[in-house]
Formats: sequence, C-alpha cells, structure tokens
Amino acid sequence: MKLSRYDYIIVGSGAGGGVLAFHLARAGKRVLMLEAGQRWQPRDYPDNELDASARLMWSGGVEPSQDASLMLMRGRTLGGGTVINQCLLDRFDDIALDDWAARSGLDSFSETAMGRHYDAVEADLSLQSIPESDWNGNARIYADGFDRLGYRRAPLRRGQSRCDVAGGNDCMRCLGGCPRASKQSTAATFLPRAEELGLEIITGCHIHGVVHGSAGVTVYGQVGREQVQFFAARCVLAAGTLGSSRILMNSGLGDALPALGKGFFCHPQFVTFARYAEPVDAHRGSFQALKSDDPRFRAAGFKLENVFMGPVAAAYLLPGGARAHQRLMRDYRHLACIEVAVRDVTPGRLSLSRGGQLRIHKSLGAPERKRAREGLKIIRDIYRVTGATEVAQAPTGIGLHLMGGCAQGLHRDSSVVNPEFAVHGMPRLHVVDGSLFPSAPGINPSLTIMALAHRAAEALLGGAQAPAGISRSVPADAAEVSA
Amino acid sequence: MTATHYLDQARTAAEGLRESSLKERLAELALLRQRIDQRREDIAEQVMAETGKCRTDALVSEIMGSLDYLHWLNKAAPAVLADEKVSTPIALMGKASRIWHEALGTVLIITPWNYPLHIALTAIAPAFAAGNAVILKPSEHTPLKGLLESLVADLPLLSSALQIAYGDGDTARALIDARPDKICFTGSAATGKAILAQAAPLLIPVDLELGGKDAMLVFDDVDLHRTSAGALWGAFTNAGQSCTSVEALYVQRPLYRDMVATLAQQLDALIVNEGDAGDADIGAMTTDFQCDIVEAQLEDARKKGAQIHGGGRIAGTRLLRPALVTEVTPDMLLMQQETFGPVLPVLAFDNEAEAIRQVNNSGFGLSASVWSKDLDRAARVARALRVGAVSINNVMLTEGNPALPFGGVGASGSGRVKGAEGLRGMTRSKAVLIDKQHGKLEANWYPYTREKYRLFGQLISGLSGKGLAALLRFARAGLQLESHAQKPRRNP
Ligand SMILES: Cc1cc2nc3c(=O)[nH]c(=O)nc-3n(C[C@H](O)[C@H](O)[C@H](O)COP(=O)(O)OP(=O)(O)OC[C@H]3O[C@@H](n4cnc5c(N)ncnc54)[C@H](O)[C@@H]3O)c2cc1C
Repeated sequence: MKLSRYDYIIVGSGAGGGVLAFHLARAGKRVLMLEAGQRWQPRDYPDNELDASARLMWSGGVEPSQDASLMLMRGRTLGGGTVINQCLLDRFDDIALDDWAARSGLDSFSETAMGRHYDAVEADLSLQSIPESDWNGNARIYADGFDRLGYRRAPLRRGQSRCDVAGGNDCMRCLGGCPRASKQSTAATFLPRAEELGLEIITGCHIHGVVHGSAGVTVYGQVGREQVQFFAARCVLAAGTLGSSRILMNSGLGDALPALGKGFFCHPQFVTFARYAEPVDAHRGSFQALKSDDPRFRAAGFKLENVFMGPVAAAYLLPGGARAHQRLMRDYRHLACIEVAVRDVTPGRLSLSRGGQLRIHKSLGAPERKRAREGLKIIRDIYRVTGATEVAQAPTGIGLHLMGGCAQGLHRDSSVVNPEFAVHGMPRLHVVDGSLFPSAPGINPSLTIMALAHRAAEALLGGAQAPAGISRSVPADAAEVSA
Repeated sequence: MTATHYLDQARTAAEGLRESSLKERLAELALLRQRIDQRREDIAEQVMAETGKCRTDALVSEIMGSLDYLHWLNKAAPAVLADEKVSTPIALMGKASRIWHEALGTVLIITPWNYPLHIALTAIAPAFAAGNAVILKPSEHTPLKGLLESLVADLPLLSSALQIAYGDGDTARALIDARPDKICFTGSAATGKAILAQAAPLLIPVDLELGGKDAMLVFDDVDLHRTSAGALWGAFTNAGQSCTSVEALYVQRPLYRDMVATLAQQLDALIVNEGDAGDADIGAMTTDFQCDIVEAQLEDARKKGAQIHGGGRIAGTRLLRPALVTEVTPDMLLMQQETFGPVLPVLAFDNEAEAIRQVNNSGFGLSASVWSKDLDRAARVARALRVGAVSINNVMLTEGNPALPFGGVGASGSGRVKGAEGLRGMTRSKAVLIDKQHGKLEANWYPYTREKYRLFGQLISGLSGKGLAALLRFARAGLQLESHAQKPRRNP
C-alpha cells in the first residue's frame, strides 16, 4: 500500500497559505493543504453574526489575552482570516518596512523590493476603492468631521468584485463569510484556482505538530476523532500567528527556537459610538468606506476608520447596563461608529500551558494606551463637530490583526524563520503567514501576508520555477494554466 | 587484503595480546567507552544515516546499550575471567585444582544491519577483554565505515587486536575458510545454517544468534494502557527490525477486543520519520528488500482474510507506517516467517496451556514476555516456554541488563552473548591440576595387582557408603593403597 508523499504540505488556508498554495500548484508541485476549519459554499455561510462567530472562528469567536484586556479574533474556516475579515488591502509604507529591515537585518523589506510581490498578488485580485456613491450616513459623518477638523482622509481599498451597493445590497455579512463570493477571500480566489491546478485540501483537519526529518516532514493531527499523519518533502505552516506558533511549540521546538512566540502584536482597536438625532443608518451600503490618511496620525501611531456591525456585535460592544444599553440598542439606526486602531509597540508573548493550551500574554502598554487616547480624543472631536448627542465608548479592546511570534530574520536569538522562509535549522519546515512580522506595521496586514507568500513561493521554488512577477487577470489565468 | 592476511595478522595480534594483562585491556575498553560517550551525537548521525533509525532508537539501543554493556564488562570481567580454584577430591589429597579462562585466539564476528554498533561492540569487547584478536565482518548494508577504527585509533592494544573486513557474504566465506578459532554470527537462520555447514568440516565452533518470532502473552488481569504501550514498543522499536521484536501478541480472550481497540488508538499516534531530532517514534527500514518482505507478508495476510489497521509505505521512502493485524490464521506468512518490520499480529487465546502450546510450536525460541498480575502464573508460564529469555510484565527487557545472557533455542540459534556466559564464550577453559615434587608413586599407577584391585574396591565402597564406618573404611583402604603403591610388582 502506497501512502502519498507530497512535495508540500501547507497547514492553514488563509492569506499566507492560500496564495502560496496557488503558486506552488501552478509550478506543478503536488500540494496538500490541511485546514482546521470547514469548507463552505458561499450561499451556506451562516446568516447571523452569532453562528458565524461560532462556526467560522476559533474558540467560538473571541480568545481573550491572559489579562483579558484584549479580545482576539481569528478565522477557522477554509480561507482562514480572509473569510471573516473586511478585506481591506493596503500596501505597507517605508515607515513599516524600514522598521522590519532594521529588526530583521533583511534589506529586502522595502517598498521597492516588495513592489513586485504586491503587484503580483494584486493582479490576481479584484480591488476596488469604495466610491463616495457607496457611502452611508456613518461615512458622511466621518468625512464631515475630518474635513471640518482639517485631517486628511482616503477611501478604503477593498478586495471585492460584486458587492452591488449601488444596486441596494447592504447584506453587511462581510465578517461572516461573503454569501456573494464578492469579497476576495482566498476561498473565493486563490484556493479554487489552486484546486483546479491539482491542490488537494483536507478540511476539518487540526494539526498538532510536525516532526522534521532528513528527507521530509511528518505532519500529525486529527480529523474528527481520528488521528492522522501526512508526509511531505517540505511543510509550510500558514496556520496564522497563533496557529503556527502553537504548532511549533507543541512540537517541542521551543528550546531550539528562543524567539518562538515572542514579538506578538495585534493592533488593538477601540470603537466609539455616537448617537445622532437623525438616523445614520450606518448598517447600509458599505459599512466601511474611509480611513485616515494623515501623516500626523501615522507618526503618532494610530489610524481611524469608520466602521459598523450587526446588532449582536453592537450589543457586545455598546457600553452600559440594563436601560442605558437598551436605549442605545433601540437607537441602533441613529448610531455612528469610528474605530481607532493602534500600532502597538509593546511586544506580547505566546506560550503553551502544561496541558498544551495556548496562552496569549499581551497587555496594553503605556505607549499603546497613549496612542489610543490620542485617537479617541480625535474621534470625540469628530462627533462633537458633527453634532452627536451622546458618545459611547466600547468597554473592551479587540485585536484582529494577529502578527508575529515567528519573526523572520537573520539570527536565531531574535527570529524564528530565516530569509528563505525556513525555520532556523530546519530546512524543510517553513512558515508563511502573519507570524513572520517582525513588528506591528500599523497597516492592514493581509495584503502584505499575501505578498510575502508570493515571495516565499519564489524562495521555495528557486529561480527556475519562480512565479511570474505579475500574472494576468484572474479567471483567464487559471483557465490558461489548467488547459 | 585477502582473508588469509586478516587471519595471519589476527594470529600475530593474538600472540601479542598474551603479553597484555586483563587490567590493561579493560583500561582501553574504559577509554573506548569514554570516546563513544563523547562522540555520541556524531555516532548517532552516522548510525541514522546508514540504518534509517529514528534518533532515539539510535541513541538508546545503539549507544546507551553499548555503553551499558561496556560498563558492566569492566566491572564483571576481572571476576569472570580470573583463574578459578576448584576443590580437589579427597582421593587426590595434597594436590590443587585450577581453571584458567584463556583466550581462544582469533574470533570472527559477523554482524547484521539492524544494530550495527551494539551487536558489534557487545561481541568485540568481551572477545578482546578475554585476550582474543577480532575480525569484524559488518553487514554490507550498514558498514559504519571508519567508525570503529576511529574510536580505537589511539588505543594500542585494541587497534592492533581489531580488524574490520568490509564486504558481503563472499568476504565472510573466505574468512571462515581461513580458520578463525571461533565464529560469532548474528543474522538470519538461512545464513546461520550455511555458516554452520561451512564451519563443520573445519571444526570451528560457532555461536549463532538467529531470528525469532517472539511472542507476548497477555492475561486478562493486566493494566490495559501500559500493556498496550509495551506491546507497541516491543513490536515497533527499530521499526520492528529486532530479532526479539514482538511478532505475535496473544491476548486472553476476555481482554482481546479492548486491547485491540487500545492498540489501534495508540498506534495511530506513532510518528514515522527519519533523520529526526529525537521526536519521531519509528524510523525508516534499513533496506528496500526488507520493506518488500514486510509488504508482501501484509498483502498475503490481507488476501487470506486478515484485518489490517494502519500499514503502508510512504512513496519514495523506506518509511513504513506500523500495522496491527487481526483475524490472523496460521496459514499466513506472517505467522510462519520472521517479519522483521513494524507489524503486530494480535491473536486471542482461551487458556494458559493453549497459549504455551502456540508459542512453543512456532519453531523459533528467542525470547518472549508474559504479562499478568499473578506473578506465580507468570513464572509458571515463563518456565514452560521454550525460549532463551523471558521478560515478565515488560518487553525486550532482558536485553536491558548486560549481566543477563542472550541467545536462543531451536531455530533461534545457540550459544550466548552478554553476561558472564557470553564473556566465557570468548574463552576456552583450561583445567589445571597441581601436584608437588616428591618421590611417592600414585596408587593408580602401575603395577596393577590383585591386592591393589581389592583395595580399590574397598576404597570405592568407602566412598559411596554413608556414615563414620564408611569413612573409616575409605581411610584405611586409602592408606593401605598408598603404601602398597610404593612397592614394586613382586618378582619371583
Ligand atoms: C474581523 C476581522 C477583520 C479583519 N479585517 C482585516 C482587513 O480588513 N484587512 C486586513 O488586512 N486584515 C484584516 N484582518 C486580519 C487578517 O484577516 C489576518 O491578518 C489574516 O487573515 C492573517 O493571515 P494568515 O495567513 O496569517 O492566517 P489566517 O488567515 O488566520 O489563516 C490561518 C488558517 O490556519 C488555520 N489553522 C490554524 N491552526 C491550525 C491547525 N492547528 N491546524 C490546521 N489549521 C489551522 C486556521 O483555521 C486558518 O484558516 C481582519 C481580521 C478579523 C478577525
């Protein structure tokens, strides 16, 4: 009986895993993807926030940091975080990349060097900047406030293809799996194309660890109750920041990798609501449209975006007890909402409990608190100048951009993954996801995770089979290659 | 170099060793032990590269096992090899009796590929300690070229006493024809027979450590989790390529189902890989032909109706996933031949006598294990088994103690290595009786006379009789004989 030995096993199907799988499959490699979450047809994604959290995310929705100051979220479904994220896709600037270069010792972290990787992934995605025609009342308040206060703003750029806001669609289901397959999750883009090229995917497969060997890597875990084991010449961990660090720690590699689990960041976010006399209808149309584009904010380490959420999340985030809460909920249509996202600089740490449970040590440091305060002050200013009747600050911070833990760099004492995307000392084991980040960029991470995956594909395949710098537009491309 | 050269050199070395003391030889073995310890990671790497073993197997059985043995040898050898005084019977009063344990001269050691370091060292070391020159012919599949040479390089006695002849069966045959004083062979029964046949006309003694089909007998009063874990380790350590691997697990019927379920679950968690860092459970098979044998046996079993849980070869590698086989029948190859791979057949038995009969009928008889809370029962069964070693409530553990002898019964071979017996096996005992210089003639010397004959009769009755009277009769006959012996035959 022959058991398969793949060229590559990729654990995790999110921003990093999805893009990498596509490029490896396109180079003719035999690739197996293992994903803990389930596969969904777009129309079957849960249609309410509670079910979506429970079924598409880890730990039923939120995982608290050890001190419970931050609620972290991450996707657990085919497509990973890209299925439950807002898919705002931004390139990093030199402020972020210079810091990476300094920390990692890799000069390939620069806008110029990253340019062609961004070009390549963007070419395979449908990207749209949210036009003013798609604004709702919340966006207008945001724009009005920014303009009155003299701050610079910019439209958000999003991976989407057919949201049809102009046609009246306001499903607002982006964070629970896009039923229209408009949002450019890997489940809607890279993965189906990779499957056409021969990628095999096993979903519902929870990986516990890896054993690195001289001729291949054994990857072990569970599908339901069944214990499984797979073999490949190389294994790529793309299980996300928490996932990949956990797999490495659980494999007993903590001693060999002193930097493992260190340097964890999450862009803590705080939302602030305001009540207006007139209906705002923040749930209509594009529930996010605008971001701050002000160099002063960037320098101060925060950014602002307009945002909104369905009633369940609103109920969770609105402050106050009993009546006060009830009143705000009743005025759901009158609520505006802006978030401040902080570029955090105080590194957190990931560890495993004796029982193998992931522990997330991450608290808000003084710099993050200061940055949040500055942002919150501006939000209040915006609400003030736009005539809000009441301002309500969400009690908890949330972390959606989970980064670091397996930093890329030159040295084993300060990083986990080498410039070739291999774990130090383990040439057949790779990490390609948000855990590579040496620090928090203060910018939406997923496009850069994808760009790194493209770069990783080049590194793994070597010069000859490197993916094209820029591939042509999507469906045609896939069709051509598989023909 | 030809076989004759090897032997000539060995004979010269053996002559040279006669000048050395046991103490000097043991001192070199102690240094060898240190060297192995210092270089253990290197050695593990080389062993892993040639055998495919996972790192823990390489470290624990090859290196730790060898170090353990050397440690024991250093402590035990002085007593085991010391000249022995033995009592001298009353009839030989006034004389002293001794046994000297002397070197054989040249020992040819032919080793297999499954434990290339351990098996070689546990034969070389006692042979050398006893004062022999050694020629090692390692398996061509795992020669570990240069390793032993480098380990003994600056040990003058050992480096002159040890030669390594690399090659295959032809090399071995030529070496045997060059007439070493002893052959120690570890390997398959087929090769063992051929060696014995070649050695017979040359009258070279041969120790044979051959294969097994070792059984594990489990009664229904055991701790299920521990016993299952023991069975899996016993069956799969070194990827099942041990002569004492558990190759048939007999479980008392009331426990059978639960045990199979537990085994299956524990088996699924075993990680297969090679070139690991200590974190793989089961390494690769050493040779392609052994993979083929294992796969063929499984295929045969499947065709004959066996249920197989697990198994399979990872494409392009020598990694076999372990297999649990149930619904086993005696007509299956895996119940008739040694498997030497990660395969565990599980059978049910109803009573003690039946289980013993099944085990003793296998033809092989290397080792076995018996598992029961009832130690009387376990000991009873252990005595009834026709094997060379039994572990009770443990598996393959007799090998864990270098003081215990190792060797088989029947098709599993003869002769013992390790332990005092193994060390003595590298010697021939020389019987020595010492009398003083004096003028007296012995009673049993000539001349034979009727009187002497009568007195010998009395002496014998005295010797075999009981009580004081008998003793007196013996003494009187003895004295009379002695004085009679001094007289010449009467000349007419
Ligand atoms: C609500 C929300 C909104 C967001 N909005 C944006 C945004 O607008 N723009 C942006 O850039 N980023 C956004 N993010 C963040 C972004 O989604 C993530 O940074 C990105 O998806 C991370 O990519 P990744 O490849 O590192 O891991 P993920 O995308 O998290 O993928 C990891 C995958 O691995 C799987 N996995 C983990 N452990 C195992 C295991 N042991 N065995 C098998 N599989 C495993 C997971 O189930 C998951 O599918 C948002 C995140 C959230 C939660």
